[in-house]
Amino acid sequence: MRDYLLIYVNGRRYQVSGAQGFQSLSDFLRYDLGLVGTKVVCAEGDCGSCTVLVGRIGLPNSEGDSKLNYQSINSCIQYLYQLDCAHIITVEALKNKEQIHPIQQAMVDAMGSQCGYCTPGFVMSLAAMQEKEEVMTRKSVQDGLTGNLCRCTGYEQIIDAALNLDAKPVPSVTENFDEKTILSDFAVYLTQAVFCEFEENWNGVARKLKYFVPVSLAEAVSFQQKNDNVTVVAGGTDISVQINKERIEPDCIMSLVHLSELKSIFVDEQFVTVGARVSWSELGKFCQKNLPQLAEIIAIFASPQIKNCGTLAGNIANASPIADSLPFLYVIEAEVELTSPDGVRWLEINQFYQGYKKLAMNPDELITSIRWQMQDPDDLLKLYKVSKRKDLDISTFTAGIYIKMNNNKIQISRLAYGGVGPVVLRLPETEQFLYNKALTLETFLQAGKIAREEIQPISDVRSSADYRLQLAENILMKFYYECCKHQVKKA
Amino acid sequence: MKEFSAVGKRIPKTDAPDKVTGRATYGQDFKLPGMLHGAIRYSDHAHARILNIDTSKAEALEGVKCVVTADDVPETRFGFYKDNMPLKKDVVRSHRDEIAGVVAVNEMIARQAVKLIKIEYEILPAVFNVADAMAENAPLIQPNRDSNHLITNTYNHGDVEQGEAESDVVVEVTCKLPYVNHASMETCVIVAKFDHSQNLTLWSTTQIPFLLQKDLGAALGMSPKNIRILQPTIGGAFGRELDIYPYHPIAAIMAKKAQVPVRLCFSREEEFRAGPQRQPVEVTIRAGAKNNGDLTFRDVSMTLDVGAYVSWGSTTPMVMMETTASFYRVPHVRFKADCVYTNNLITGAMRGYGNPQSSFYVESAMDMLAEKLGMDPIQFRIQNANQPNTITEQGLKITSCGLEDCLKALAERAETKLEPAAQPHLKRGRGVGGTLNVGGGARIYRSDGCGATVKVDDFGHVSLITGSTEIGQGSETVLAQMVAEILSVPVDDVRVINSDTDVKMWDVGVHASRTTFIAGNAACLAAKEALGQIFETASELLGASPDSLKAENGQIIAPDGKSVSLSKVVRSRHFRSGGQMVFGQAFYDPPTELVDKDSYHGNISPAYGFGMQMADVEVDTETGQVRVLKLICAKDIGRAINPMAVEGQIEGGAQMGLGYALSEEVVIKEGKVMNPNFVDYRLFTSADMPEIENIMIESNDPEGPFGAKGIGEMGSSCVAAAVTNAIYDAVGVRLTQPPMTPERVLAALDTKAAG
Repeated sequence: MRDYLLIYVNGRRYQVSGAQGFQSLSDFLRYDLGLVGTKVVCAEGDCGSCTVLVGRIGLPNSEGDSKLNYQSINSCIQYLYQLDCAHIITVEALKNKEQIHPIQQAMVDAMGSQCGYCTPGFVMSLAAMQEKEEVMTRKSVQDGLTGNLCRCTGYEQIIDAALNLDAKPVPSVTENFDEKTILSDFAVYLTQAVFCEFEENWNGVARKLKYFVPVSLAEAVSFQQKNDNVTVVAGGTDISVQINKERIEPDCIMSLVHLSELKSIFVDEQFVTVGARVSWSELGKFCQKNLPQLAEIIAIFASPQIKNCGTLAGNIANASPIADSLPFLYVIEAEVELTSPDGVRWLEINQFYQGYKKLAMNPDELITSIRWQMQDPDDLLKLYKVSKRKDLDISTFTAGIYIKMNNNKIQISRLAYGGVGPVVLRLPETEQFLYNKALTLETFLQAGKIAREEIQPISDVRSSADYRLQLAENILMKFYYECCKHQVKKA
Repeated sequence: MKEFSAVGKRIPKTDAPDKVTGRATYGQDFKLPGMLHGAIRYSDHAHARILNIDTSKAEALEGVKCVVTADDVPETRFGFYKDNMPLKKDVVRSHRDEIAGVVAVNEMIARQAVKLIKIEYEILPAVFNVADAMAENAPLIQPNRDSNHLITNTYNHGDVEQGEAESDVVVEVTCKLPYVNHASMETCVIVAKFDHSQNLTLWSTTQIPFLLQKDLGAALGMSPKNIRILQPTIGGAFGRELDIYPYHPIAAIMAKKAQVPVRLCFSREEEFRAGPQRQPVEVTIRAGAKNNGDLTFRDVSMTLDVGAYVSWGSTTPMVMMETTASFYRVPHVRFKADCVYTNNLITGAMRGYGNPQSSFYVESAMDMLAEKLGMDPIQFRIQNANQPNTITEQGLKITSCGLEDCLKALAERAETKLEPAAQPHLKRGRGVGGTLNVGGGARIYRSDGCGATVKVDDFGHVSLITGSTEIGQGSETVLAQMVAEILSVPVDDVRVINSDTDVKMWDVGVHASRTTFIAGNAACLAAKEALGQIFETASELLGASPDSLKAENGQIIAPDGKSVSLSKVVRSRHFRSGGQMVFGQAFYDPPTELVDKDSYHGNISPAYGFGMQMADVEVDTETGQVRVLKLICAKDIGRAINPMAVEGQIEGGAQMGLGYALSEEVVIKEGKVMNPNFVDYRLFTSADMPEIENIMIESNDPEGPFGAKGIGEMGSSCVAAAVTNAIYDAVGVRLTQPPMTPERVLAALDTKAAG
């Protein structure tokens, strides 16, 4: 056990302890280290101006060698306790030996920078794409930059810069650093949990704070049991926003960043099991091959920076009724694995929420994985997200629709809507109606009318209740046009 | 035509290397020794009397240096109508009203401390829309006025009744245009510092350093000559900082009381709450045409909610009246705009400045007329297009004019028909919309000028000291290109100095698409003067008359081929008895006039720019979601000094215009912003952007530098108009209220289905 975090920034080693560890990475960079190239624009992971690269030890290759895997993150919503044994690279260190880096040069040449405030973030997002050896096409660049807002360029010249890059070999950002030293340093420290407790005295009030970074699940479970009000941080993409906006003020944090046992996706004959530390990026990659319908939603529901940090388990724990993954989990009847000192239990997702942000889990339980049954490829599954903008937008309405056919009749149907109540809702009456019906326009017209009656949405800043009611009806028509018409023709 | 060496070239921005490497220093990166941090306490109510302010708890907080309230300053008033004050004393009139400020060792403590200031209020009745504000017995927002009605702007030419009588078709539509926010990536920031002699230095993200100097003097009760304004690198502005806002004097008040430099930096939430918004408008247009396609009349009336204090939003009718009266040829026009105080947000200047609003209603009506006439919408517009070298009824002297060329370019593209969508619930459509913008400033102030100095040093290095301001648009680069062209030096040899009111000559500010034109003309005049001096000395060295010399690649060349380097000429002129330096100075004020204060006739700009856009959209009739598939932008820009920079302005404008059309709206409830963040205020991302095609029409303006006209604003002005016309083409419903969100589109479809 140690009482400090080990963080490398641009190849330099920092031991961080006490209150210093309880700040966002962007504050650490800008105020403690004077690296002001990283900008803060929204402080909630929406604009990407604070994007930096974070390198962590990946799984060893066939020769048993490990290397640092770099990906983009929003430094404003990553706190230092999430970054133990990580190497941060900022725009200041992005260079090609002593020359300007080709990505930066491409941005200059294509006029990808006007006021320039968002520019370091774009540069770092492009660097992350290069590190992942993504092929630069117009589409991949547009998607790869969804986490970076620009108000000046309309993005065209930034996209041009990226497309001009492809022809030229771009040196890995890692070439500027002595990775071996960093790796061996991390290898030693990764075996030790971090526990740091300190007292903050300000204005005559003493406040005790602590953070814990366990290296095993057993440690995590035991800490959770022994401490009250533990704020568990997996990706931190929601909790850190709440801290930044002063909605919560946690004083006991447990960061799950080192729990490698929760980082895998297992597939066996019966189940797909997704560990609680599997990031959206990793799950998205898996789904591209195995579950394209979910991959489609993952592709548009958040930016790369968010997906590199956020997790399915976090989405479930955060319990937003508009969480993009929930309609899927509801219609596929996924189960949540809850681990406590007493052992493990599985809870079906449809029983998991008891009210707005009220979870059927005990204070000493941790979500450790999520599993669902493999689907028959002939089943119809479609997920919808309606929002003002295509990407990275809080949904107005979400839907999951699952249908199993038998003899051209609907044998099983499951419908789940989000954004229409305090929790995601299944629509039992509509499901009942659909039983044994054929896939016709008339079926879905009627189903829509029933679905509308089953919900009582409210109006808020994103949408009126009327619109949500209308969507509840229309989404079934959309489903018919997009999935069933084709199906009927095929039959 | 003469081949240029620097003008017309796709040259990267000179400030780009520092921006891509994170080296550029913005206000938010900026620190002075001993600098403290400020935070502002705003009102908790839309309208209330302040009974008591108790700052004791805030003052006692560890880390707090001092608290400022209205008691710390002499009572001053500022703003066009002298209706605003730095810190409010007796009454707060909106949720954005500043009551007190805290100076502390860091921003976090300052923000904690402002919450500890206890304010007792007596809540007063408030009004949140024009109708309520204008009702009899409505609570009076500004006490020294008779009513909440601020001003009526009326304009007339011809006889609208006659125009309507001559019309074969008449259309009418009422539109409601929303509040939107500039959403610059960098929020407002200011650092204030007093020296021992009570001179004030400010580091500010302002767009109007010289007017701010003057207005701040009024707000602080000090002489403007003791105020110096410096501008660090600015992370976007778009009109946001075209006026003085209370936070400017508050920073100075804080610095004065704290006796150290103080920085005040808006959070994103403050940017939405306390900053200005684009002017919302409710407008009805009635318009007519003859069967032959000639326009007959336009009759427009509108109301504008300008909030509790007047800023530039209240002057947007001047621009909207210009579009109404002079965009396309209309013989009979009547325009009336009523500006009204409410307890809502303040409205300011924002890119396009009334044009996105007026383009929306004028072009909606144009499409409705074309449909009634059974004419092709583009041909209908061509028939009525403004023409070069004409004077509009309003008195705009249109010299260069590429409107018809823009329209013809779109007509050519429109020959390729839209492919229908694959699924029955997806409908596609195409629409056009256009705009008339000032192309070289707008005389809204007594001077629309800009000063410039060009000096060449002993090493051949050129400095352009310009009054203009760089806000990211690339003015430093295009001005350097013009100076480099005239002096025939590489663009890299020209450095642009533009950030200090003590150094640069006066300029009215960066707005009205004027910098390329006005600052460009000033820079060209100064460079030509410097070149004259160079030729004068070179003629001695080369033994040829000054008129016969030419400059090329840093050399001055005589007709016989003999040459001398520029730096040698400068040294020769400098290092001699009675020596002289090379410097040219100019102040360019365009040949324009203030509009007549009653009739609003007059030529306010030395050039006018025209733009047309064509949008292809796909509408999902089940969800109401609209996807823009393609946007073609045809713009009359006079001449592209730097085509890459022109494209950047058009494409950046498209992003802002698409947001205005489809996703952006500052939602308010009883005067309070409900979505003051980027989670709920949605800007378009890279993935939302359609394919954009740029068509540049170079109409070669006679007054513009190298023929150029302004392009800064036009890109955003007509997008929403094109999109609404495209939606109509796709699904047959006319959306009159941007943003045309899925909800609004679906509601319109349902209304249509219900018959």
